[in-house]
Amino acid sequence: MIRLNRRQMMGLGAAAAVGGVLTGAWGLHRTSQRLAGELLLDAFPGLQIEEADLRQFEQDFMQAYWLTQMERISLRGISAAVGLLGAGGVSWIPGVRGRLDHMRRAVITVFLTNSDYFTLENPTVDTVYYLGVDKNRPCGNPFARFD
Amino acid sequence: MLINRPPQDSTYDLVVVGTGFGSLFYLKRYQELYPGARILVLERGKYHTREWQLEQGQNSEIGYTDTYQMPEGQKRWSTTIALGGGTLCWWGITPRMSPEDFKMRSNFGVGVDWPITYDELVPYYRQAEQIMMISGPNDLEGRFPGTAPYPARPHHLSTPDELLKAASPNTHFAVPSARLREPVGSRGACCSTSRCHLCPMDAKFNALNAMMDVLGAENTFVLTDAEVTHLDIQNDVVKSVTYSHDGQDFSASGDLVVLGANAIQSPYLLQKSGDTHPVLGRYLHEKLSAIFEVHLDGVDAFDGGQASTGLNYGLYDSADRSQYGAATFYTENHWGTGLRTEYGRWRQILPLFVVIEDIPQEHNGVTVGDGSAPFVDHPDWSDYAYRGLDKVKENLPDVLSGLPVESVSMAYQLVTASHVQGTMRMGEDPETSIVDKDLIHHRVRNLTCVGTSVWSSCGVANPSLTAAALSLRAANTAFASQEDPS
Ligand SMILES: Cc1cc2nc3c(=O)[nH]c(=O)nc-3n(C[C@H](O)[C@H](O)[C@H](O)COP(=O)(O)OP(=O)(O)OC[C@H]3O[C@@H](n4cnc5c(N)ncnc54)[C@H](O)[C@@H]3O)c2cc1C
Repeated sequence: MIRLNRRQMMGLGAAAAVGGVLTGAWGLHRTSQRLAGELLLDAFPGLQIEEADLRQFEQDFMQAYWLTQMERISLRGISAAVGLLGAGGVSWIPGVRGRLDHMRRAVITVFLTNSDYFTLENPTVDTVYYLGVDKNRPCGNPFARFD
Repeated sequence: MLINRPPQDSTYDLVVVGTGFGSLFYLKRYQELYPGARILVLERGKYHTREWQLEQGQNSEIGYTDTYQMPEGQKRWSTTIALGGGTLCWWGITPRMSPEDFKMRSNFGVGVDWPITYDELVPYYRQAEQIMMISGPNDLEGRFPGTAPYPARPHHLSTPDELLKAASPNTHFAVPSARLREPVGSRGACCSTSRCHLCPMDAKFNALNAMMDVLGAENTFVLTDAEVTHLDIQNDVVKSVTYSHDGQDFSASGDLVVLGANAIQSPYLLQKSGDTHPVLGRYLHEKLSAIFEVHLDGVDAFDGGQASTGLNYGLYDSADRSQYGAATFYTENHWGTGLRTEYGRWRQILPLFVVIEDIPQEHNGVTVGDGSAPFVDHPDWSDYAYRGLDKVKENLPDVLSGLPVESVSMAYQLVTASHVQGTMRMGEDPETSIVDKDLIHHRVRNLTCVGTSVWSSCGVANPSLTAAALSLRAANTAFASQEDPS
């Protein structure tokens, strides 16, 4: 298990971004993937999560079936820009701040509803397992009351 | 019985077009009344099994919007073309229409009255609710006389619903729905998924889990992949129904023809059959709908028992419908717009699905276009509906006063509420309407038109239960008038 803080994630993102510029599309793609994880760790300070789970989450998030192709492309663009310039560096670009807020909300929602977070006694201390996005999971609402 | 080739014999007592709500409920009652009758059912779409639908993640290989044309930039309309029609994709929400919805002109001086009253529909509402095994609360009785008891217990309210209910017991109710709370037969119990069009538990009523006995009945021949292209109408009588199957044209005749091909395809078929009535295809409409989000202080949401848990009439009761559209809202038990982002307050948010009635406008409608598919023209909702939306924004905070509200905001307006209504409206006057109160075409008396195309005014209720009730009534009345021609 690893614990990455936001700064480390930013570092990773930035490093990946530089690599992206140098090595072309693959690097850019990787950078954009990392943004979801970065936003996640930012929203859940101290989150305990396996690295493989984090990577899987990032991957699922960008490929998620609920994102249209256009949204995916625009998120990739924004992600790549954040990777290069940092969130502060891009938030002045019209529309970007709103998009980032939107993505942050989607990241939080997708993670909470596709992990065991809500079933843990103490999710700030316990390891949270990301379960993966399964659109056919019969009952995706852990709070629903039936009888 | 389901067949896959056109029957040799092409003469029937009844020919039914389509297998959605309107057609199926008519067919069911007709079979009961005429047990020996020979019936042909023509369905344009395929028979997609439940397994196929779950695997493909869709109800039909034909997309919602593939079967009509429209000007660029206009709103879309969603219909399912397949065996079962809209019973497959629908979400199973089944409020009745309110008594006042049938009398818009008399009560509010706008729109038109239906030629039928709520009271006349009550016995058929009950039958339709029984057939679909609707779960609902008994306290709706005060608002919709004749509902109690529903065939099944209501689903659990969520915590915000319980607060709203305590504050306004006469305006907030558990949502009546065609989703089972307890399993019955092959249908499972609702698990509060938010993918009701592909219900993972098969809890929601649809043609495949509750009407296969009707479609499989002896002497009933159901041909899928059979697209009806026109009716041959001579001297005000439908002589035959022409359909294409496997690239070939066939025709079948019936003493009676029931047209239930949805509110876009049905008027188009009549237009292609030479019906030039000026109102045919006109007054296409649906509700204006929007998602609102309510941020709550210290109350967690999403602990109800189905996808939408509460139905609220606070905005409806206070509306001045002579001036603007009345509205209702559903409290949503799923996080379609997202959870909250403040740490630990994730669930302190209540999404609302708000629907506002429109006044059907004559210029909105369906025409033959280039003849290859219906051309749908609906530039926008009316000012009446948009004024209703403004009133929602103004009055929603008051209606929500039973909740610890931090903020209320509109998240977005929806492109469609998925309710296609109007185009072959029901009325007393043959000059201004297409069918009479028994759903019989004013001029072509062996033609009955069913489904949501016959809507005279919009209302706020999801329409399928009413479509089912109207069909049950129409089959009954036709039988009664045959028994007693006087
Ligand atoms: C996603 C979604 C959710 C919905 N949720 C709800 C809900 O919760 N509650 C509610 O009340 N309503 C709901 N609706 C609306 C509901 O589906 C419709 O109101 C209802 O299906 C209309 O019934 P109908 O009989 O008029 O038409 P349909 O049910 O659409 O049936 C028309 C039938 O005719 C067939 N057909 C079409 N053209 C031809 C042709 N040329 N030849 C032969 N057959 C033809 C079609 O394949 C179909 O079988 C929802 C709709 C959608 C899309």
